[in-house]
Amino acid sequence: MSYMNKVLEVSNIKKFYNGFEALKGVSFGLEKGETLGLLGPNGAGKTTTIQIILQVITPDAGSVEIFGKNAFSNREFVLQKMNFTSAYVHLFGAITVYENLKVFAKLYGVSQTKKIDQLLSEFDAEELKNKKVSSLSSGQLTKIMIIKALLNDPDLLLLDEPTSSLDPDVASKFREILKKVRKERRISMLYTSHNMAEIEEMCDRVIFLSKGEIVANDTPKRLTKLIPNHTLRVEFNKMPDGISEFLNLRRIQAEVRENSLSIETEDEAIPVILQEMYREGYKIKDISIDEPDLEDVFIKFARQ
Amino acid sequence: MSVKIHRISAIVWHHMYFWKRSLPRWLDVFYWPIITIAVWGFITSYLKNSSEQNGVFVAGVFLAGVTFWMIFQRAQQDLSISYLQDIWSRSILNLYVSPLNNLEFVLASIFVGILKIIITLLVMAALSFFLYAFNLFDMGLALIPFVGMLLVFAWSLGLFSTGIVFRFGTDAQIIAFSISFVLQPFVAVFYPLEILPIWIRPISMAFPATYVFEGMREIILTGVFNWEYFFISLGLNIFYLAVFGYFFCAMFKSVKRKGLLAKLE
Repeated sequence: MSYMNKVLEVSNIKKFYNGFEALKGVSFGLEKGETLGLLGPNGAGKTTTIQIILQVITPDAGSVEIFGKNAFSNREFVLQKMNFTSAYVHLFGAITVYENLKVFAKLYGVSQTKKIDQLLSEFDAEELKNKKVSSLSSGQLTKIMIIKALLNDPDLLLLDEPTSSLDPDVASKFREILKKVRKERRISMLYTSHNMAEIEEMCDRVIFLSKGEIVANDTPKRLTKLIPNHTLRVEFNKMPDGISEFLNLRRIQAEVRENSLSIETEDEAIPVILQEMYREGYKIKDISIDEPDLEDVFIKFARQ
Repeated sequence: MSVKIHRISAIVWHHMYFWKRSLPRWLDVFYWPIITIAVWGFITSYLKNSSEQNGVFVAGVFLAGVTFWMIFQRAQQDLSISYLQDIWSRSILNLYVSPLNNLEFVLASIFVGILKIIITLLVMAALSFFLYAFNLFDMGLALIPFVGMLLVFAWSLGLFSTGIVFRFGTDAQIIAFSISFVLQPFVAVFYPLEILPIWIRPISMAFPATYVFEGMREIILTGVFNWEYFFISLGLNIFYLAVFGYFFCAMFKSVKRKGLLAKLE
């Protein structure tokens, strides 16, 4: 990947809080148009990492380069080209949506108010324009926050649990909008969420942080391969005679219910087990296979 | 409706726990009564002396004192409150992840503060004129340099109190509202410095506002602009602006180091 494509380079950042090492030398990069998920249990260091990139926390060691420049000595330049939204940060409650957006447009040097109108229309939020921010619902506020985050046409967008206060329908719409924006503008995104399905849907790559360290860095698909076991569920019309012997002989651990079996096993073993069941003449009514997902990976790392 | 002692005692304990850890609540009990008694005691003493000597000017001196005091208090609070507003609405992080810097924020707040002071001044001048036939603008242009000195000191104090709020969060917001009142008995707002006990005077003389109020009274009573007071207040202002400006920057750096900016509320 060429240097021009590198949007963010975090190198060996460390952060201590009263002797506690919150970040133990975290390094990663982000390329143009890429969406990187930052995952980890509470206290893993995700928010600290994001806030260091945003320069509201000073790291104790390490460096952050954004658009090829040292972020800390080029604060104005880099912040001008990036933006941020979070479910935990608000706008000014006492003034209207439009007034808020106008303030932020000015902060980013966006002089044309038509940009605000264009985004309000794009996000189907024109009816909120003259409402006071304090009167908005969580979903409406999130929508306005993302509009705020897009006002300056950022090249890098940091999203800290952006959908945590949204219902599934609004969250899904929000993701559609983000995907559209990403496709149209090739924005790079750093994304944190506790919703693993959302991360799988949105992110090209995922970093797992645990106790201030990166413990995994890969695509969501490859990360799920770290969990070898799949769950095979086999349902019979009637539980076959001799099923216990069948399982014991092959040393298969299974949860046996009235007319079904639930077997945790490796991917490659599934066709073998099914083939042998057919060979034994078992009448199988239904088969389902649960593949491990990012949530399983999350739990694995969180419990390590 | 039944009244239960255990529920009342729960709320009493709730207040006591707060009280134990809250400087403002201790100030309510000890500091403010002392300040109130002191200020009114000094005013009474001044009135008693001046009615025998120069009573005609007392009303003018008082109204000018109140006007100057309002300007001072507003300017100090406006700076701190402009930060507090964003902390209260949990939007301060949105500001600091934009290219905005502290100097720009402070200058914008000062600009808004000046606008508000002009409006306040006009309202007070109109009220003084219609209710007491006292024309604030009769005091003349000579007062303007002193007003300038007063504003600079107010902004310095605003930087100091904002630095405290940054570091300690909204628990310390009472300082933003009350710091000017803490100084009130010392800076001779409504009475001359000579009314104060001798041991308090060195404290008073450490603040530029004291020279501003003394200078203001001299202009009203004698029509003379006291350059010595002006230059002392200027020198002290340069000192306080440098010290409190440095303090504000140090607190902001500390807040970023400790990761407290996002937690301010």
